[in-house]
Amino acid sequence: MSFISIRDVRFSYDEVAEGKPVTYAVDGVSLDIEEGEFVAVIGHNGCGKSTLAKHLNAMLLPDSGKVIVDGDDTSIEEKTFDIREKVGLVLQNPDNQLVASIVEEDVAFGPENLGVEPEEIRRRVDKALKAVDMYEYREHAPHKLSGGQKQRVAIAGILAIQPQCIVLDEPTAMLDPSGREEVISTLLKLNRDNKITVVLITHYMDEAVLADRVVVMDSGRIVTQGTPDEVFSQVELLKRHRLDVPQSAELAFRLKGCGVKIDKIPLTQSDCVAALEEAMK
Amino acid sequence: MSCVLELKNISFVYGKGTPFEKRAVDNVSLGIERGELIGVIGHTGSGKSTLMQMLNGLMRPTEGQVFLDGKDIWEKPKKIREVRFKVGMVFQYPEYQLFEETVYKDIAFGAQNMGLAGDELDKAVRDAATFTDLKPALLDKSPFDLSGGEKRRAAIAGVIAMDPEVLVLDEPTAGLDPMGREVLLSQIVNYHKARQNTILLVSHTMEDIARVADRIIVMNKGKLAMFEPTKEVFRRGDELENYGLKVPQITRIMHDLRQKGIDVPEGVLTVDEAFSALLPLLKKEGKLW
Repeated sequence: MSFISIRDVRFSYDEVAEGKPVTYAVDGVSLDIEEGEFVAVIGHNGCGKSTLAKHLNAMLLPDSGKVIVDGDDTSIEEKTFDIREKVGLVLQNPDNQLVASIVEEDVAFGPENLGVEPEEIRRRVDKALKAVDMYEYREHAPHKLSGGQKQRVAIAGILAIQPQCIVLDEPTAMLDPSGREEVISTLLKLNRDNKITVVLITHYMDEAVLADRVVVMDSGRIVTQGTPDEVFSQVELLKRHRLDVPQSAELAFRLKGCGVKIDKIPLTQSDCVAALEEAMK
Repeated sequence: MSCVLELKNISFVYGKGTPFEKRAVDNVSLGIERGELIGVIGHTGSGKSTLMQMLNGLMRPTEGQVFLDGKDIWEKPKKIREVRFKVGMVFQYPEYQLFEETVYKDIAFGAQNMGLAGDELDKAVRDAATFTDLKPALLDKSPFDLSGGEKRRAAIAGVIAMDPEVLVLDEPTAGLDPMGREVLLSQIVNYHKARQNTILLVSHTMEDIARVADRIIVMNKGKLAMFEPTKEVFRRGDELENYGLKVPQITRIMHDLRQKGIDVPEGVLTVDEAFSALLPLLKKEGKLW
């Protein structure tokens, strides 16, 4: 069975009453997330992707349908804390997620609340900070860090709870280019080396390109999904859903449309250069 | 050409005389010409926000002077309010600043404080709503009933209604989806064209800046690292990377092709430009089928 299994989930923020029309933020989504996968979810503002993300650790419960995390149904109240230990959530604004005045205390907040032994907390905090490459800053004040650093501390705070999966809702939206790169390379590393399952919600197509699988949402539903190559070669479909493709793909797609021989739509700088060189030959 | 804004050796020091003293802006001098669309880039903490807040007197430089239309804005500190009417500022995530009962009232708030009333006020509000593509039907709604993108545009409309000579936008597209970014950006460009005013656009999205800016201010560690035409700035990719910034992907692709001996122009900034450069080249080589 998949690590997370979402079955026909519907969710509305409206009050559900008889005879009243209801709009569903998530409108019949089924999705399986395998252990160790790196999944990117893209979709325009209001497409339901953040609402879906909040279902993954029982922050929200489905109106109908089910979310099963590691065998447990999120709607069973006694399981809520187990589920939140397994699936951590990181949000957009790092300033809203940091609670302590010293980095290592902030990272310790989660395990402290779980009643973990002090020595074990020390061990976890050090390990988490090393994993996001912020160990040197353990005694710094979080508010003096850069956006990328703050966001990495927020990720370390989740890691200290030792989850199997991290869900991130637009973690780079407020960051500068180097901050974005720091966060994304941290996620790739955690996924590759620590085998942590990552679900990344993003508006940046160049980040989605790095995932194992890309899920596209619109109007509360999954429109298409597949490997980055499969998804981003559907340039017109993405545009119809208010999305974009990396510039490399856009250029190649337009040239291809004019009869230039390009076999595979390139998603990265180097692939694009290679494809164009090939076309020139 | 006359400068609408001129900065002379301005610095800003936080916590002066305390152990936390920090020079956020360090001896910056520059002139912005009337009608320019200026991009402002720099990593987090580079001093760009502090710099922007000194342009309309929200912060007073600890050293140096700011000139608006040739006049020192701090010459008469009591008159600083007038400067804030002339230099409009839209902060990050401005939708959190909406507060009025209706969208109309919210957009009107600033202009009303400037003394506009009656038909004049009504026109200012409606024009601003048109520029930001808010349908008339939305104006009577509560701002809290709008979608995220509409809220953002309503907040921007509130500043546009004041018809500022200079408009400063701090990351207006942050958190918007690709299409939302595109739409808002083209609204800003259309507004700029129609009003011929001066705009400073702060952004972390290099692709956006590359598309619209005439010149770019690059801040690094509180200092003005570059102030050059857009093409020139993005030609210096290595330097930008040292400042924690990046060059748009399309610029890098075209740069690499050039390095490989393919005859494409230097400093390509948009997919359109790249497409128009490559297509004739491929045609000439007979590579179409």
